[in-house]
Amino acid sequence: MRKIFAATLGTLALGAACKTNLPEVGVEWINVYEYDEPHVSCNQHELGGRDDTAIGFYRVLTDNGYVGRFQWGDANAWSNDFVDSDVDPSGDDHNWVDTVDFAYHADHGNVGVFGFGRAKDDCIVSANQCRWGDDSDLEWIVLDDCSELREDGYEIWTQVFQGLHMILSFDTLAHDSSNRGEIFAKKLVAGWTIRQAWWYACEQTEGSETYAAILGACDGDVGIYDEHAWKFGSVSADPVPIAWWWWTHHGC
Amino acid sequence: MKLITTPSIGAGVAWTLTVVLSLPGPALAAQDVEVSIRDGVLEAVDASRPAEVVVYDVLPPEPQRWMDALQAVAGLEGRAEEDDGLLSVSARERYLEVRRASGGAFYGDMSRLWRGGGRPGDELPTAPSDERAREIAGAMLGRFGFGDAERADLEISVSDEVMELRPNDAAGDPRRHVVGKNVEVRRRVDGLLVHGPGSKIKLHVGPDGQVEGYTAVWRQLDPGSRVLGHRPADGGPTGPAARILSAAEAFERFRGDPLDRLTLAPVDRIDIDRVELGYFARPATEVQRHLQPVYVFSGVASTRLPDGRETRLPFTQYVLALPEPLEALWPEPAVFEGDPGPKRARGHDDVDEGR
Repeated sequence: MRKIFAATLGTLALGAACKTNLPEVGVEWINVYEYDEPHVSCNQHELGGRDDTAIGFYRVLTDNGYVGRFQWGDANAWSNDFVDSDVDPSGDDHNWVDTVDFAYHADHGNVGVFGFGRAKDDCIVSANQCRWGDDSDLEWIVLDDCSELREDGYEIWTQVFQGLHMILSFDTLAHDSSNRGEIFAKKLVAGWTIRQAWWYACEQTEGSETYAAILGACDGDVGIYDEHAWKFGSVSADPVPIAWWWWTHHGC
Repeated sequence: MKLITTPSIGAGVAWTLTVVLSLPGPALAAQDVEVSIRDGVLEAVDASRPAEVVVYDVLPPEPQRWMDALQAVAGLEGRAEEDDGLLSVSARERYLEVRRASGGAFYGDMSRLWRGGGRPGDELPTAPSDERAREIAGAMLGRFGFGDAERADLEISVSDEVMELRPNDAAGDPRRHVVGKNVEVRRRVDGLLVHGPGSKIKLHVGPDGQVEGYTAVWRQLDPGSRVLGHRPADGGPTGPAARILSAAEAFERFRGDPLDRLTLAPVDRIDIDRVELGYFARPATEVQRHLQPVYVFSGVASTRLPDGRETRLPFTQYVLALPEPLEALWPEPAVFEGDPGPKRARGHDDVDEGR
């Protein structure tokens, strides 16, 4: 969606109900997978840098004019923040992930699924439960988790695109980087295209065996391949109706 | 939490690593990761590995000297600016940077690098052949001062940068466009391949044969480091001699935490079919003082997902080959210094439905 942005704002903490015409960012991250009763733990191996990478991304954007809407971590990161209520009645994405322009999830993942630490609803969200861009806003989401966009399995994500422009993730395994989000965001605000910034961030943080990947939708305007984050260059209209999906990967 | 390991029956040697939570009350089933290794792999590695492996000191980077040299190669004039440990200079769409931490460099013509992709029916310009891309990269290596691309300690590979276009039409077949060539140069030290994020030169060659960008992280080693274990570059006291783990010992370490630092889950089973001794280089964003040996465990991670799909993913894990680390292989996560509210004040016990 097209927007007119006002002067740069500092970090603002806004409730879910408050909507602005400024670009918005939200992040969720999980390092801890054991919780005391009555919470149900998701029992994955613990990570350590998920907070740093997600919040680093959040800080750079909020320092450069984005409104920070949420930065939920560990037990506060809930699966239903990403789930669409039309698909699953517990879904609440219309109050969270689909209210921001750029979202970042940092945790575990596998092909077409991504994880959480505390089973508020589920430990895992599947692409089948998500529809992004339909409720209001989401253009881009980073799933900083392993293998979400596997070359032979990324099709599961195509149904998710309901106005969404791109999913940025990995074709292969990836590592618990603590600064990938910050590195990525710094190049976005420097005016690089989203694809350039993601490939660069992955080359800086991963070895040769890792492949970063992007899945995007296109309505015929190929400018969307080379679009920028809001405020820092050209942004294409929401790709609706979708003429084709584009998938690309890059050896790090 | 306690760990239980039990041998299981099957091809090769297999263990089941079971994480048992000591939590009372209801909990989800513990995650089981079954780890197996192909028969004979460990024995073969131990039989062929060198008797001694040098742990090299890494010389301090010289970012300004490197920046000057690369500016000359790129024909970029002007004084580099510095921000947050990054030296950079740019002219129009051309950009060059060098990191103080490692000397790692990046160059890009941002008007061309990693752009485009075409429409499903387009005929894109033909990308250079692999041989031509390799020649172009070889010439670039010479300009970097690395000499002959045929050096025995260099390993050069060429791959396509591809974009796959999938029409939103059941009758339409996906179309793959080659939008450039990637040439990757890695190095061997004493015959061992250097792995990890921080030892590579990657060049992106565009359809017209131009080098549109590169990443180069190539730390210099102290050739005086001849001690098994560690000898400081400044000539200080020799560190304790460190023996290299056997492959079997490293495998024990691996199966104790097979998913260490990987963001992969869920996963049911890991089958290792290859083990290799090498070195590991930290990311370009990090200081590295020692080039430490690692065992590289490669295979397949298999999972049946809750929706019934089965995934089989190429798997690689690095395990330090020293009994104790001289420094962490991967950077340690920083202590959280952010806004305290969202992260910890809403801790494990006091989270309610309203957050």
